[in-house]
Amino acid sequence: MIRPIFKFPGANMASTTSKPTSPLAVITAVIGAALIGVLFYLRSIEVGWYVLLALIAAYLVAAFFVLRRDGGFGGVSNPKDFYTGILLLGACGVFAAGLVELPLGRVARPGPGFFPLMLLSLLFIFSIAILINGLRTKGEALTPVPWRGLIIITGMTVFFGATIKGLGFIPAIVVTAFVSCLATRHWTLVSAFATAAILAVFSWAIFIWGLGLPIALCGSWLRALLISLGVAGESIPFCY
Amino acid sequence: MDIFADFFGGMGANLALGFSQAVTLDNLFYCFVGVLLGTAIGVLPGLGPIATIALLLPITFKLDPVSALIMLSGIYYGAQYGGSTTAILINLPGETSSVVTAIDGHQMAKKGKAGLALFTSAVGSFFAGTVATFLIVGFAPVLASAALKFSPADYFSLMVMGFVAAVVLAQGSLLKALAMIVLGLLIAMVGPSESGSPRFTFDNPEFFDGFDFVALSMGIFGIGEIIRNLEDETKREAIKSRFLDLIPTKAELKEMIPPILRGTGIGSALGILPGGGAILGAFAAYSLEKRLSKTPQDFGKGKLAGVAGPESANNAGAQVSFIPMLTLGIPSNPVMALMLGALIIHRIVPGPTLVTDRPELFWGVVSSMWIGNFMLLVLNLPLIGMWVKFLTIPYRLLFPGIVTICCIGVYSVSNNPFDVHTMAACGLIGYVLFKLECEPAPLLLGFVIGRLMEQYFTRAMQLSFGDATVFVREPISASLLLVSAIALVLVLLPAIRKKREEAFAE
Repeated sequence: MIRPIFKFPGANMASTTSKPTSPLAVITAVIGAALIGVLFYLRSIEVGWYVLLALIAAYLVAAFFVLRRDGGFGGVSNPKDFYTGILLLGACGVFAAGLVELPLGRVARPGPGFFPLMLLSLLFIFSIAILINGLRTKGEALTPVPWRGLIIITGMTVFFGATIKGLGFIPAIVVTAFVSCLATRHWTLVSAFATAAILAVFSWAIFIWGLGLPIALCGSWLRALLISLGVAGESIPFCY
Repeated sequence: MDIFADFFGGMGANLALGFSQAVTLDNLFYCFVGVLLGTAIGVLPGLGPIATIALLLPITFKLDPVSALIMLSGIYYGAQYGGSTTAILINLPGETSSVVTAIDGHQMAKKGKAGLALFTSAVGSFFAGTVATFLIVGFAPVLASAALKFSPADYFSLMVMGFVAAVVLAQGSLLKALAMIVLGLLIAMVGPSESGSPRFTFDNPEFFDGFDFVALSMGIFGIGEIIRNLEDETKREAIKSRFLDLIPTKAELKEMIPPILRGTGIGSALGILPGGGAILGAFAAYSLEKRLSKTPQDFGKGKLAGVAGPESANNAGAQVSFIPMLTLGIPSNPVMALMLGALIIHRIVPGPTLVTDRPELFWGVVSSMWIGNFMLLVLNLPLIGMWVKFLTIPYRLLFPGIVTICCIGVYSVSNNPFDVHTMAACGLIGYVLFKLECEPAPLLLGFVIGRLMEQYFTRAMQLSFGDATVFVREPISASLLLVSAIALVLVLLPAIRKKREEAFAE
């Protein structure tokens, strides 16, 4: 029995105790990663891809039967790990779709697809292991998502990217800052206006006046609008 | 004896070169601004050192490389000190290494000794920083000349060991951390391959250059953090305390000196390990102080040694971890990954040849580290009152500013709106990762190293004519891999052993 070096007082501290890990998940990961290594070695002595694929398939089938014999899936008992596994498998799928068209090359002259293929295989093995962990260990349920904040913050970031060229520096900042203020429920109209105004002046002072970034203060859309309305002529200060 | 004479003589000449670089009025000014801004942003609750550096990275782009790096190191020290201040005053550690500081530091603050805790932290950090700077001066060239003999296979294995060390020492699930590294490596593959042909771009021209490093780190650690902080909007109260008690009594000074010395030693020794850096040092120093103490029961209740030891170790480790980054080009922790990314943006590729090719840069940075530490001391102690005011700014007023500055910062890197959109996506990813308890730091580490690792891998395979055993045949590479394997086994063994116990129980 090894005594922990010290325990953290207070519950809000990060914990050093490792998360519950299913032995089967560890074994899956270790054997799987070792298999990738062996495959890589076999490939380096020029064994055909079909042999390698057959080996992977055999491994997966074996893993499945071990899992069945070993008590099977106990339902999603550790959602955090389970969904991590699912998401990582999705990422594997995306990368696999991109990998298909890449030439692998030979081992003595690895092509653009060689290293990514090794990484992808490893990620696949780890995703499966994490998935198994999600099914076989107990974990905490997911906590609610702050949808309001999430949508507003990401939305405004996308908005800034989409409008910085068209609206220009100052309008994009004012809108981004103002709407971002609404991400929390504790917002007030006054503080939102004040924040937007202060940020506009502050960012102008640092980024345009201080650092001299080449960003138009008001963008091409506004310029076109002002000209078509007849408010201003062709040359508007700070518009380009 | 000649060797020693050379060693110390070289040290003197190198430092002289470094100080002649760093001590120009301009560079001192940039260092000063860096420390000031770093502390100002780092002290804000919810912004750890990684987020702070990512946020301030763009303002260094306009400077020449030496000044930019000097400013960045200033930002780095400022951010670290700011993080400690937040940890002590509102028990909100921004990163893992200041978790340890928060334990006793916050208790001290509650007892009205916040000033003393902050003073100890600053002095301990300064002393540790000074010692670590000399270590860098002594060891970096030695390591660099040794690294020149490294073969590509050795480099590859060194990176593997770095990853394993980072994962083994991280908290949380090992499997997830491994998966995060591999995912980071894969994301780094997006963009042009070594031969120039596009990879994983799905014919979208925006992907042809790969993802921007600043956008990725700002998304995950800036935007993602904001969404995460919006989850829990409870008010955080800063300790309101008078800071007249800043200057310690003689007894207190006596009490803090031995822990500072020990912490510096431990931190420097552990900091050179890849992956460990500051975190491990702080933990080890804390437990050592507790073991050595005559009153171990006082730890966790506001013991001075519990602040002095870990803070010194933290800073020594953080600084010493510059050695592998500058000489090998391998970041040992996320902060170093960020610094490496910044260097690459300035078209400087760290590696064993940096010391010989760009001595003015190398030694300029090393001496600016010391200057940065010194500035931290003279700047922060008088300004503590101001930093505390910063702490009381409510989060609802802060985050719109962080969002805006993130957006401008990322956009300014290359005036490309796509980078801002990458940041938005990475913010979502960062939040999802937090939600699923996956550490995003290994992902960043993998992303930064990815291309370099592939290069070394490809070169090793070409040099060995496709013989995969090259990684275990070359002695350096083999021993690095062996160390990684042993570390992994030690961590994974308990899980497998539990399986056997369960089997016996049935």
